[in-house]
Amino acid sequence: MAPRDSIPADDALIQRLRSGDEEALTLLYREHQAEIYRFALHMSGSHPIAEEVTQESFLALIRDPQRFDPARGPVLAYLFGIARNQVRRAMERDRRLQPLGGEQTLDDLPGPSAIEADAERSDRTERIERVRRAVLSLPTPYREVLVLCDLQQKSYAQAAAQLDCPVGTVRSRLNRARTLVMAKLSGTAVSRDPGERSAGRERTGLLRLPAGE
Amino acid sequence: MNCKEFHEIAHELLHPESAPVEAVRLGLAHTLVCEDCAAHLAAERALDEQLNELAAVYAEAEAPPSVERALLTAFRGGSDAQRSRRWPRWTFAFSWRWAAPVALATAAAVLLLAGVLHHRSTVGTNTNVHAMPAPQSLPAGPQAAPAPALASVTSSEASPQSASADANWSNGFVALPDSATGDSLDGGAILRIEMPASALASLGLPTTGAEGDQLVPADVVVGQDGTLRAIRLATD
Repeated sequence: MAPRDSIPADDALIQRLRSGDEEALTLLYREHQAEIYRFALHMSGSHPIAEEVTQESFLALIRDPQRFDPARGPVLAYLFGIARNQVRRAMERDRRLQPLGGEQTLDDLPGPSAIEADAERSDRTERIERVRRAVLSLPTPYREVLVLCDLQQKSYAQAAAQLDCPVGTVRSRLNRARTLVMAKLSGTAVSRDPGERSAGRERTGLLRLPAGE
Repeated sequence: MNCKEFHEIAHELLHPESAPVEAVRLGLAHTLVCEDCAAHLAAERALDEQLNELAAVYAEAEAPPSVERALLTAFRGGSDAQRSRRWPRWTFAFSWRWAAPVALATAAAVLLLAGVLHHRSTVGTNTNVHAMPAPQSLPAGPQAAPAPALASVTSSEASPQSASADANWSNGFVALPDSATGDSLDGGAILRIEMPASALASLGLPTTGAEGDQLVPADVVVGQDGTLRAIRLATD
């Protein structure tokens, strides 16, 4: 999310956009596109979907800039709101990409430097791929929070603003999301019983799921 | 702090700036007395490292330039529409720029429509002719019959004033003024009409005693282009 002191600048750009100023669109796009694109990419695991979501989010702003109300939040939060819906629609439409699919594997992504040994590279690639699959397997509300807070380094307040929910909800969803990812990575099931003893989970292979939000 | 409370804030201990100072202090103190929670904190730290690795893979990811180009194209299209609504003068200029192509397209459409309508009427009248023989009595409206061979009827031979005395009539028809040559009458049709005796007289046709506005039956030849070519008194 953009820093608070950048909001007036965004508001000014929106005003210029409404009057047909092309440069304002360019500035807004270049300021925020990467955030939207990476969010969609982490959420979907698909570059084409991320591209589509980014384009559709800004197209919505172009088509009807009057719908953006600065009183309700910054423009990035508005774009995130559109992007979230677009991601859901795109993934529902193309279920073969959900949750583990994707036309691109980590082998195609920037990897370690060339001097790294193949084995090390393979281990790293496999490790990242496992994490990526675990993240993509999360239910959408948990995945959104984990992507924003842990992969895009947003604060709780920023994530709450972009998701339009209380900070407490962000905290509890993030806690649960991390627990689910750890369980996925360790191959254990998750218990919803917060009173279960830790020693017990080691024996039974259960991870304790913290109390719900 | 108990284990349940610890688990709720464990991930926040990795980012002390995001948690209350007192909660961080109590949580870290709890790991000193609880091995399980200490192990859980280590697992949280390991997960953090793995997530950071994943984040690094996409850290520089951006939308391709084609997205920006597409958006600018869409924006320019929308802006043009807005300007045309805002400033009528722009619309005026726009109209002039497209005036010639629009006029040509309109003319072509009119010609095409006229051709289609004429073709339908010709086909329709010929169909009537084949389905219904020439009337023996005067119909209330126009009736059609096949056009005769009118090759001999030409405009040069069709002066109305001389028609009554001219041998160039064919099947009793006399060419009408301003009609085209008879060669184009092939495929035309004959329509039975009624017209005032005075009008027939002005064309040089005998009115058989009828006068003035009295209606007299007549047959007219309609060419393929829809124009009247010749006329005669109805004889049957």
